[in-house]
Amino acid sequence: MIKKRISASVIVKSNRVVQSISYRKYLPIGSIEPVVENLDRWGVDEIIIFDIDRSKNNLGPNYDLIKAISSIPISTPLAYAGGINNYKDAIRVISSGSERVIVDNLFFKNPKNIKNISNAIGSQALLLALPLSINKNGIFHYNYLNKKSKLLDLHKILDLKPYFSELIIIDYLSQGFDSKFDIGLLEIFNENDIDLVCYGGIGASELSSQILASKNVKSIAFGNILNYGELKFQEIKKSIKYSKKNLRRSIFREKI
Amino acid sequence: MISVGIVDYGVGNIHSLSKSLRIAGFRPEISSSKELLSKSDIILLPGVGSFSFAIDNLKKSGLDSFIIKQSKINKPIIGICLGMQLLCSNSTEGGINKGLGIIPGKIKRMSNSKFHIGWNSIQLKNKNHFLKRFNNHEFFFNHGYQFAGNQKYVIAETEFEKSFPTIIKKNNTIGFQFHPEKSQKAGIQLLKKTIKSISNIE
Repeated sequence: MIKKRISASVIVKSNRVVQSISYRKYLPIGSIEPVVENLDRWGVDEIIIFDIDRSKNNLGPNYDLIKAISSIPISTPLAYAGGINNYKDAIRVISSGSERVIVDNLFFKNPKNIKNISNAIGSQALLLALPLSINKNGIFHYNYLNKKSKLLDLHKILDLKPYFSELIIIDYLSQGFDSKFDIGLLEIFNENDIDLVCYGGIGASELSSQILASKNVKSIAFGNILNYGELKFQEIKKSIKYSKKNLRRSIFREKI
Repeated sequence: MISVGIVDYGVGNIHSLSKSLRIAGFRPEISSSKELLSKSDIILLPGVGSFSFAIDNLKKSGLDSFIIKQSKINKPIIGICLGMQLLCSNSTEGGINKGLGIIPGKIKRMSNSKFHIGWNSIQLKNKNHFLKRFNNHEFFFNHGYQFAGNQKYVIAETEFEKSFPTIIKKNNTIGFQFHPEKSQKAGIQLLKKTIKSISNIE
């Protein structure tokens, strides 16, 4: 049986790991190598890197950073987001050491390129990430480049559905807070059978089990909380009440 | 030290694979040179990508006929994920495309049209196989297409609503649908065992 994943997200800004709060405030954590090395030792199910200033500054993906991570080396699956504009970027990200590629701003800028990337690397290796918020008027998609939100265009997502494997929904307003992820965000995607990775304000709580119980949720990602304590991942995994047989047992190791 | 020639054909996570092989105790060499690859003890065909794009790249570089020739002289070959799929007869991904035809069988969309992404266990068909200790171990998968062919080539299967083949083998060529290099301790140990077993070098 395929297991639901508990992923670790790492936010990188100017080559340093930061703690991000609602896409507004950033607190420094440190170098990426020890952070990723710890996650790998802890046996997390997947590591997701959000390299957040690459698109904003038109820098393209940070291949050196990806190579530095895979040179540690790590044996945990890696997904990378940051400045990917076309299929050549995506191929280079993969050859540098990431198994999966995440696009976000391309959804606004050039959705056609999402299709081209998918044709080159396969839709299984492509994820779409959307920072979202929800209120009584609907679900809103936040464009972090111009800092504006607009009503989510579901048709546009459905048009792209054959070209990506999973959608990362980021409750960006809840990011940095405990047990704040708005579960109302899931409904529209469950109705449309879109596989999901949920991230932003989940916390080690009852909420994580509720989210995991949702059929289309394939993974939940933790970020900031992992920076506070050795073997924090094991602690979080233990605290999740969701059916243990649907989760992988994470094995801590010193080294292989 | 066993040398592993990683085929660089413009598709695949060659960098992380190379690092994993190094920590497993092998000497990896990433190359698109037929001369260099033919000197290695084992050829490894990696792959993260779409079948049509990948087979086009192999053909353009002439590496397709090189790998086929190597299999005919019984050179040990390992295919990982897309690399495994490329070893087969054909695939329906991105239109119908011929593969290398080293392991007879088709690559088709998974029966439930879903992606099989994440950690899942493998079940070995023959409990005396050299990989027997990995029976029921979990590995990382990331694919939407699967092998469909003669059961005699199937070494292990995995349950995803239905069972489907996840390790296939013919002569000295073996393919893994999952990513051992990204499956933490079990994955690295499986790579180690496989390379030592099929190369016959201890």
